Amino acid sequence: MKLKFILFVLTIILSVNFGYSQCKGFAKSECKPRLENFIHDGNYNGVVLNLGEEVELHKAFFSDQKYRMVVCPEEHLPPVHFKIMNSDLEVIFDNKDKGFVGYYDFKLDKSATLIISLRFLKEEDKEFDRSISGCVAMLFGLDM
Amino acid sequence: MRKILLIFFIGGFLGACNLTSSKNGDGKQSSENIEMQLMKENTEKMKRVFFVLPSPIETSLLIKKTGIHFREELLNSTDNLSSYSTSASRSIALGIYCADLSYAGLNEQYQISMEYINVATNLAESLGILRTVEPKKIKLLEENLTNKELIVDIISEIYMESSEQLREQDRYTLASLMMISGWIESLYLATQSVKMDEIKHQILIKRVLEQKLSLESIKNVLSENKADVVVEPIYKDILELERLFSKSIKSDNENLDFYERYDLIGFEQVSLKIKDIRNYMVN
Repeated sequence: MKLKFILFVLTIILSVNFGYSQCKGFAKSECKPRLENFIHDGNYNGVVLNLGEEVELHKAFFSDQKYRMVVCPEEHLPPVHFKIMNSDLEVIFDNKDKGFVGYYDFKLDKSATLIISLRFLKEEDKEFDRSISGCVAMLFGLDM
Repeated sequence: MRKILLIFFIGGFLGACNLTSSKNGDGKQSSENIEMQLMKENTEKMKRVFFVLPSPIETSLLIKKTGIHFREELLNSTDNLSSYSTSASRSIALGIYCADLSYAGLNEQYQISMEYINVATNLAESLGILRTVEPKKIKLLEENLTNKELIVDIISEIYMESSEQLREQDRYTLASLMMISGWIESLYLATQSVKMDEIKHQILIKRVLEQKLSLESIKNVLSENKADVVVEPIYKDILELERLFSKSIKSDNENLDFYERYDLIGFEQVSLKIKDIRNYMVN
C-alpha cells in the first residue's frame, strides 16, 4: 500500500514536471517568435490553465520603454481573454475590444506595477467542460 | 508555487475520493450534479497569482538607455568562479554573471560577452542545468561575434533555461536566488555609474529609484523561503532597501522638479546598501 502511494505521488510529480517542461518548449518554439523585433526579457511565464480558472500576473513596467506582451495558448485550446489593469484595478487594455488578439504593444508615461489577468474565453451557450486545460505561455519583449 | 501545486494536488485527490464515494450512493445523479456545480464554482473562485521578477536584460536596457558608459572594472571577475562551491553560491553567481553579461552585451562589448557566455553556461552545467543554449546559436555567434541581437537572444536563453530548469527540479530557492542576484547586480552596475553632480545622471537616479516597484515581487518570492539560512539575511537586506527607497522618493508627482521629488542623501544610502548586498552575494 505504501509503495503504491509512493508510486502515485511520483507519477503526479513527474507528470507535473513533464507538463511544465513541455509548456516551456511550447513557449520557446511557438510563442517567442511572436515577439518579432522585440527582444525577449528572459523571463518565462507559463501556466497550465483550466477552463473557468483565472490567473493573475503582477509585473513592474517602466516609463518610456516600449513593451510587447504575447499570450499564446496551445493550438487545441480556446482563445485567451486577457486584461491589463493598473493597481487601482482600472482596465488599461482588454483584448475583448480587439477580437481577442494575442498580443499588446504599449509604452507607459509613468512607471507602474500592472496586473494582467488571463482566462479562457467562455462560450456561454456551451455546457461547462472541466476537462479543457492546457499550456498558456506569456512572454514580454523589449524594444531595443 | 509549491503551495499552489500542493493545493491542486490535494484538491484533485479529494475530488477523486468524492467522485468514487458518490457512485455508491442512492442519489447518484443528484450528487454528481452538485459535485459538478461545486467544482465549477470552486474553479471560478480559484485565482492563482504570480509575481514576475525583473529580468537583468530589462534592467540593463533601461540603464543603458540613460547613456552611461560601460566600465569593465565593475563586473564580477571571472577569476572568482572557482570560489563558488555550493549550489546556493553558484546560483547567486549565475544571476550575477547573467546581469554582467546583459550589461556587456547591450553595450556591445563582444569579447567580454563571449567570455561571460562561457562562464555562465559552465556555471549552469555545474548546477545540473543542461543545454542552456542551442549549439547552433553559439556556432553562429562564433562566426559573427558582433551580432548584438544574437548575443541578447543567447543571454535570454541562458537566463530562461537556468531559472526554469532549477524550478523544474524543484529547486525553487536556488531559482529565486539566481533571479534576485541578477537584479541586485544590475542595480549595482547602475548605482556605481552615477555621478551625483552631473545633471545628465538625474535620469539614471530616477531609473534606479523606479526599481522600488520590483520590490513587491521580490519580497513575495523571498518571503516563501525566508527561513532558509542563505535567504534570511538577503530578505532582511531587501526590507532595509525598501525603507531606503521610500526615504529617497519624496513625491510621486511628476510635475515637481527632480530635487523636490528625490532625496539625494537617501539615494546615496540606497547605493551603499546595494553595494553591501552585492558584496555579500559575490564573496
